[in-house]
Amino acid sequence: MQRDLLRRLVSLPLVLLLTSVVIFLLPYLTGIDPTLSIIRARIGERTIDPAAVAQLRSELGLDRNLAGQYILWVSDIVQGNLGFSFVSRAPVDEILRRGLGVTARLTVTTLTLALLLALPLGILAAQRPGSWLDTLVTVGCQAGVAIPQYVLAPLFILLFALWLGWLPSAGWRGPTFMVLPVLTLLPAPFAYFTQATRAALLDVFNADYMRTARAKGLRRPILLYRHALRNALIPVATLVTLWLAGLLGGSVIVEVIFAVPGLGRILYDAVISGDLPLLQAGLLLLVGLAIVISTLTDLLYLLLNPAMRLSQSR
Amino acid sequence: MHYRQSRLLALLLLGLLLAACAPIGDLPTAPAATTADGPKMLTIAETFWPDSGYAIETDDAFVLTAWGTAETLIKIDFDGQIQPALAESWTQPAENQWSFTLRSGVTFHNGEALTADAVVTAFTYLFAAETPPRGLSPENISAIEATDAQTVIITTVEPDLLLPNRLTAPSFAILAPAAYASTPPNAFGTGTGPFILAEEIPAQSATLRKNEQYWGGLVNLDAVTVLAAPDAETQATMLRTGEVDIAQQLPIPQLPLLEVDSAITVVRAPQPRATTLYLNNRQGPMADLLVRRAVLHAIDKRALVDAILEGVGAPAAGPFAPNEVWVNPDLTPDTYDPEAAKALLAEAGYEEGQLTLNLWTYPARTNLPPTAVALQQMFADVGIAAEVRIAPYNALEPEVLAGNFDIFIVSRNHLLDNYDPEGFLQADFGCEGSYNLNGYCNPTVDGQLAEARTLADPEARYALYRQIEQTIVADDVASIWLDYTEQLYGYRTGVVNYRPHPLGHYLVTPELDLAR
Repeated sequence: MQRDLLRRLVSLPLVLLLTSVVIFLLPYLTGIDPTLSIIRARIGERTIDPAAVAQLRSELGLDRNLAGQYILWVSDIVQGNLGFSFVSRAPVDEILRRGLGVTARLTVTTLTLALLLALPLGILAAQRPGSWLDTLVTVGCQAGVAIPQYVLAPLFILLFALWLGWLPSAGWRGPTFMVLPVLTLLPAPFAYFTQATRAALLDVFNADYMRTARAKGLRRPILLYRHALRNALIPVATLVTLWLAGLLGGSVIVEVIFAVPGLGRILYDAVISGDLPLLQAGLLLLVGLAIVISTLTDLLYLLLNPAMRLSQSR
Repeated sequence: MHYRQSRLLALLLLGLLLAACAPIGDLPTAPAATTADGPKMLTIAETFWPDSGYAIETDDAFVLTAWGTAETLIKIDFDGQIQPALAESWTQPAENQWSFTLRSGVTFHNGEALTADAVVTAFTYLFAAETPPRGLSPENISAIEATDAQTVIITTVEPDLLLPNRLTAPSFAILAPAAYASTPPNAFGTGTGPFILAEEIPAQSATLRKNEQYWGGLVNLDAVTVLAAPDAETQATMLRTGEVDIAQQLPIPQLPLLEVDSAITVVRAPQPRATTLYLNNRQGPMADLLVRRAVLHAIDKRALVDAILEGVGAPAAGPFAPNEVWVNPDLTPDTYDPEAAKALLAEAGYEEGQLTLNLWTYPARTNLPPTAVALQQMFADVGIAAEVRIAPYNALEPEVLAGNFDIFIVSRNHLLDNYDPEGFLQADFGCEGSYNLNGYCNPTVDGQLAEARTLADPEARYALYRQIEQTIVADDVASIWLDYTEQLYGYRTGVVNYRPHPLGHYLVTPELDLAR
């Protein structure tokens, strides 16, 4: 186990390095000239002075060859210098930290709630396969995945903000502002977690060792918690990891509609305006976080699955 | 042991939930009460949150003047007239010189005094900036000097009769000298306007406080909160729930709902902005005048306004709207004539279905993609096949500038740099113009523009603009103008003395008030 962990820690910087090459090249693949994008982001439609374009391009170092730019960028990042946004000229690490704090809060709350709701429901459905409850849960999950966020969000705003007046429409100025965005993000992960729990449990219930345990005369709760759930949770844990990494960068729609100043919106704006330092550092951050999260999940596996623990007394 | 583990997991989850729900966000702090009834505070919604650090040389300057925090030497008032602001008066001592006399006794929000030196500092920064405001080209400025405490003289290389006009653009707002110690200049508490930009929570909100020492007199409101609302639909809802008192960019589909709401008043403000077809005058099929004229006659402009703009706007005859003083009244938007279009195509040598054009546009303005699709249909009706391409503006612009297009649909504002169409005409239709996407070049038009720049009498200039409009619209069909857009503003009952500014320069004014 320790050897495995060590291998993980060593490979982390290597993976990051490889991904950094891809991330660095990505904005250039669109064929959009970053200098022009930056100028447009600053002055909108007003007429551009070609001399100003050339000057800005050389000031930002965008006229140097790609390899040279990449090396400079990597050496800066390694020293902890994430640079300054081309558009707002604010330090990139400040911008990303702010956005990450907001999005992380949104994501963690959503996924925690999704898990808290999905586990009991998945367990119930798995214990009564084919019943009306099970069918209801399955259909509900399919609906939750099918309805897009840009339909749900305005519906929630209409219902809770306009008609009932219970909640604010948009913004991020207090706890009540979190309710609608979380509610909008909730259905999809909740549906996936419920179905995964149910499916994994059903598989486990049919296993030989469960039949043995039942034959031993063990009571239901012990059967469930000691034997079934801990194995069934492994695929769910994988899903949570994927959703965590995905929502951190992918909740743009919710962030725009509810005016939440999160990471997704920041990166989306960076793509549109060609803000390379912000975009590249932001993508690197997301990839790095995804790798860290998956490493932590592996540790969680160890907690759940005794077979992976080498030295442990029975 | 296993129960403990499960309980541990459950506790972990609950702990995460609690942590996630810890107090978040920062509430904008309320101003101290100045009257017995409490402070008079207004809330407005802002769609395009400043993202360039409030840098005065960028579009963020529009927000600084709109919020009433920074002011220019000269301004355009709500009736479109040039008025003194920080400059009391101005004269032209020589052909290439303008002298501005500053108002005395004006102080910046940080206590520094408005002097000629402060103006020189401000303008020096602007012209040395990475992306200088194009309204005044730095190459044409030979000197800016403070000849005494209240007088600034600007000397240009070529005589520029429109200089005072150009200084009305928000980028030419004057900030306190201390502001320019940083890049971008610090816009917080360094303006001269009726409101002080007190604090900002990035991408969320800004707080404006009343300037008790405002030179222009009494300021009605005590404070204004600006809230970021990037989604137009959400903004409309915030207006309806009362979370904001004023909204600036209401979506057209919401108009029927807003109009029946008795607590809301909707204002339709004409914009100096037209949906324009830029045509490749240099190469490809559009280089032929007959084809350009055929395309013009193939388009039913009224149908576009009814279907796509839902009536919020009007069909366009040329770049200038009917309410603009320099418009040529002889041009008409009713050019729809499909039979004439077919005849012209035949004359140009194209059989039915033989001509294929590419039609490019971008999605940033919601009316553009549907316009492209509608045009494709209208072209098909006269035997022209059109291929629509929708991509972000920044991706298309270089290819358009390189001349690899046929038709490019753009939403174009022609009064961005100064309150006179000279800048737009020169940029878009001058042979050396910097935004001449058409590749159009007519020496007569260039000559008329050069002449207009030397005329002090506005009426004489406008006569030339009318001739130019006739040439580019009717004679040469350099571009095709589809429709003028209107912007929908909304405000709740209780808001007093609010009206949209023709150029969007000012929103929060000393007169703006909240009725109790």
